[in-house]
Order: sequence, then structure tokens, then C-alpha cells
Amino acid sequence: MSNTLYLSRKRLVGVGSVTALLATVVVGILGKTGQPWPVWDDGSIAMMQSLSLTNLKKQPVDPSNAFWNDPAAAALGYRLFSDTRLSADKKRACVSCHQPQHAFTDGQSTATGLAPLTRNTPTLIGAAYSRRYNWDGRSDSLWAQATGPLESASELGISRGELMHLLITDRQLREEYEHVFGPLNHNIFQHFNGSPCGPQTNSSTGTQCWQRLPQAAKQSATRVLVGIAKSLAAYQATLKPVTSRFDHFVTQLSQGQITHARELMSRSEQRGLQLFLDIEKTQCLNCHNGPLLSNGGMHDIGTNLSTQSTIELGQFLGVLLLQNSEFKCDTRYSDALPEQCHELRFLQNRNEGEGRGAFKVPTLRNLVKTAPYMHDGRFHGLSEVLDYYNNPPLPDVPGAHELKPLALTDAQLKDMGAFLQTLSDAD
Amino acid sequence: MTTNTHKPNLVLYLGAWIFILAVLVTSGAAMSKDIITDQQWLSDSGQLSLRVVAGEEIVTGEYLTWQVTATDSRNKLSGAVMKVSGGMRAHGHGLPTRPEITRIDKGSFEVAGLFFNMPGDWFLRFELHLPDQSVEQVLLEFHLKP
Repeated sequence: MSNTLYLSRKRLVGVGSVTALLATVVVGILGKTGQPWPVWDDGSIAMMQSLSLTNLKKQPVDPSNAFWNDPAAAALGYRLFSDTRLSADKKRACVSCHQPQHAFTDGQSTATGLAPLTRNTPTLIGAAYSRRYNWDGRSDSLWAQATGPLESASELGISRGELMHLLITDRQLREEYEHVFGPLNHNIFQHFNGSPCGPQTNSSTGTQCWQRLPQAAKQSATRVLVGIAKSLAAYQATLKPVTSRFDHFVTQLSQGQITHARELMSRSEQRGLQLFLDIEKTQCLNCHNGPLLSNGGMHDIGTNLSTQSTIELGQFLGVLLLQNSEFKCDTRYSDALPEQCHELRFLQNRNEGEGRGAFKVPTLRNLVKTAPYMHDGRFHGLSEVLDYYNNPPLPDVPGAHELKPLALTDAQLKDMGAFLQTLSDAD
Repeated sequence: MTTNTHKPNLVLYLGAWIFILAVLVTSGAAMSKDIITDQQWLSDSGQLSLRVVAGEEIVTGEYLTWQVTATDSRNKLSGAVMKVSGGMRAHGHGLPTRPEITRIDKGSFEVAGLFFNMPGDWFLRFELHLPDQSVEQVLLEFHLKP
């Protein structure tokens, strides 16, 4: 009898222990809110590791810019980045649109230079990893890209002659410049009086002045534009992404620190991550992959019909502009050997129409700080972007763009939005 | 009696192993260059085959150079010209780059500048333009994981 009683008690204790253990497990899984924590298998962890900054490759060197890793060039570029003397109205600089507090964007749908522009300002963080620049890929290096806004009459609008004059008149700046790029040809200084003088000015006096210049003066002024652009590129190459909350989460999860990982990302954020990794369901990873969450390519997601109902040419125009650029990788102003110019060497000449509407895939890092979104800043919030991907416009002809409806629920879209907010630097 | 009880187990074990091997082959190989390099790719007519030697793993986001060697049962490769096209059918786009093809030797070519910009189902179509004006086409289809 007593033996039976003992066994019963033992059984009771056992049942109690199992119940308590089950309760602990259930509470552990469901948490206080009653919602389960996502469970991560090795394959999912490996996938998210491929997106983590800890797997970011060593930054590539731009062979067309011999000053890419030159600290003096980067220091000069840093100063010039904020120097308003590099604009026609002396009120603007690179930093006017590429503002550090907005992850080097400007918070506007489309940028404003000397005139309103048609493109959203892209972030510069991690830009050194790109193979092509501008939304349509018209530049094949950071320095070649920088020449565009400097000279563009609707952006900073400063001519090569004015840049030369700035170096002639600011002795300290000239010495800094010459320290990096070598001595200027003083014999041609007399040709530059500070008036607009360059091939891209929108004034007839500016272009006439340029046409009258001796060849040596033209070359020196162009070299100055290129030197300044290369120093700006050297500075921009130092703007690297910083580990985000997502990166810390991946590290903790990889080390089996599930409790710590759960302190870093909520259930909703983790569910959003699960959806992000589900390539069949969301297709995000097709283009937004690797530690920068961009494949750096050009893709058509159906946004080429602008908000003004005009057709955008996208990559199709970008290829034409790149091929005809004065500052591409295989020109005299580049420091690369011809065989190092991969983007030009293997540039795909699209058939008429192919590539039209394709724009560069932006990084998803710092997404919260880089609103509005898309090449023309048409979407002000992440929810608008997610709604667009969930229900993309039907293509007018099959295959006209690459998106397919996702059929995500409102709750799933909310989770996706929550996850995307974990990708900011120093979060 | 013993034999009878063990037979189903043996079948189950064998089945399980075949299943595991099939899963390993279909999932793991997609990331490896072996899926391209470990086989002969036959032309549509069956008269010609290609072998690929890839210097590096077949990954997205990197320029790749392959050595492609053709073998023709009729020995018609002298002076042959190779061309390549391809893309992703599901996404409606072609190759993101225009690879350069250099003839190394009779039937042997270097294909530089191959670039796969995203994961998914890709195809490459190699065309061998033979001296007798005939064209042999070889289709490679493979899946790249993220």
C-alpha cells in the first residue's frame, strides 16, 4: 500500500515536472504575448549570415582612380564635399543633397540643385562597392559620377575654368591639391579669370570661352575637374556601413545565443526576416542579396512609367551615356588598364527597348533614413513600397517588368516593414 | 522468419538513403561549379558535346571565366565560331553582360565576362557555327541559389 502510495507520489511528481517543463517550453516558445517565436534552422541561419556585414568582402579598389586609397586625397575630398565654392551660386555643395544625418541622402522625393531635379538622391554609404553609378548606370566609377553634378547646370553648375580659377586664387587649396595630384601648369593660369568657362556650361559665353582656350589649358582644367572628382571619390570610399541591429541578431543567433537574439529583434521583426528569406514567397533575395542587400544590378520593376506619365529610359539610356562618356574607365583620364575596365569590356548592348525601365538596385541598409524611395522618390514610406511589391502594376505586355504579385497579408506586410527597420547603421 | 522481418527494413534504409542522396544532389550541387563542369552537355542534334572548366565557383555578382571545349563526332570543329546567349526566362531578361569568347584551339574556347546578377533559374545557349555553315546549339540550364 505504502509502496503504491510512494509510486503514486513519484508519478505525481513526475507528471508535475513534465507539466512544468512543458509550460516552460510553451512560455518560452510563445512568450508572454502568446505568439510563437520564429524557429530558425541551419539553412536559414546560413542564409542570413550571407546578408550580414560580417561577411562583407574587402572593399574593391577602383583601378581607374589611382588615389582611391590615398588618405591625403580623401582628406581633400572630405573638405571639398562641403565647400560651397564648388557651385555656381556659392550656396551648394555635395553635402547639400548627400546629408550625413540622412545616410547621405536628402529626405526629398527628388533632389534640388540650381534647378529641380528628377532623381531621388541615392545614399553614398557602401557606394564604393558598386560597379555602376547613377540610377541608370551611366557612370562606371565614383569619380566619373562626381564630374556630373559638379558641371551640370541644374546641379552645382561649376565650370572647369571656375574650378581652375579657384585653385589659382586659393593658395592653400592649390597646395593641398598639388600635394596629391602633382604641380599644376602655371603657364596656363592667365586663361582663367573666374568666369564660367567649360564645355558643359549653359551660357554661350562659357562655351565660347572654352572653345577659344588653347589645348593645354583645356587639358589642365579638365585634369583639375577629374582630380577634384577623384578626391571626392576617395572620401566617399571611406563611407562604410556600420553593423545594424540585424547584424547583431545574426551574430547572436549564430552563436546559439537565442535569448540575446530575441532581445535584439522582436517577434514581428523576426517574422518579417523569415518572409524576407523566403525567396519563393517574397522574391526579395533575387535582387537584395549579399551584405549590402543589393546585387548592384539593374532591374525593371515596372517603375519606368513616371508619375508624370512619361516613359523613363532607365538603363537603356544609361548604357548609351556611358558609351559616350568623356570620363569612362577606358579614357585618358582613367588610371586603369583597358583590361581592368570590366563594366565597359563586357557591357551588354541591349536591343531596342530591353533595359528600358531598369534602374539600379539600391541597398536596403539604412532604409529608414533614406526615404523617400525609388529612382524618382515616388513612395514616401516603406508601407507604400511594400504595397507596390505586393500588388505591382500589371505589365502591358508579358515580361515587361520582373515583378509578380506576392499575395502577402496585411499582417505579413507589417512584419516585413518591421524587419526592414532593423537594417540601419548603429541601430 | 528473421529474413522476412528484416526485408522491409532493408528496403526502408535503401529508400531513405536514395532520398537523402537525391536531396543532397539537387540542393547542394546548385551552389557548386560541379553542376556545370561534371557533365557533358549535348547539342540539340546530339552530334556535338561541350565540357566546361570553371576556374571558380559559380556565384552571383562576380565576373566569371570559363574554358569551354567542344567535341564533334564528325570532326567538323576546325574553324568553328562560338557564340553565347542566355538569361532568365522567369524574369524576362537576357544576360546582364556580353561575354567575350576567344578561340584557344580547335574546339576549345575561353568565355570571359560571364556574370549572373541574381539567384534563380538561368540558361546559357552556346552556338557553334561550323565551317559547313551548319549551327549546333547546346543548352545549359542550371539553378543558382542566393
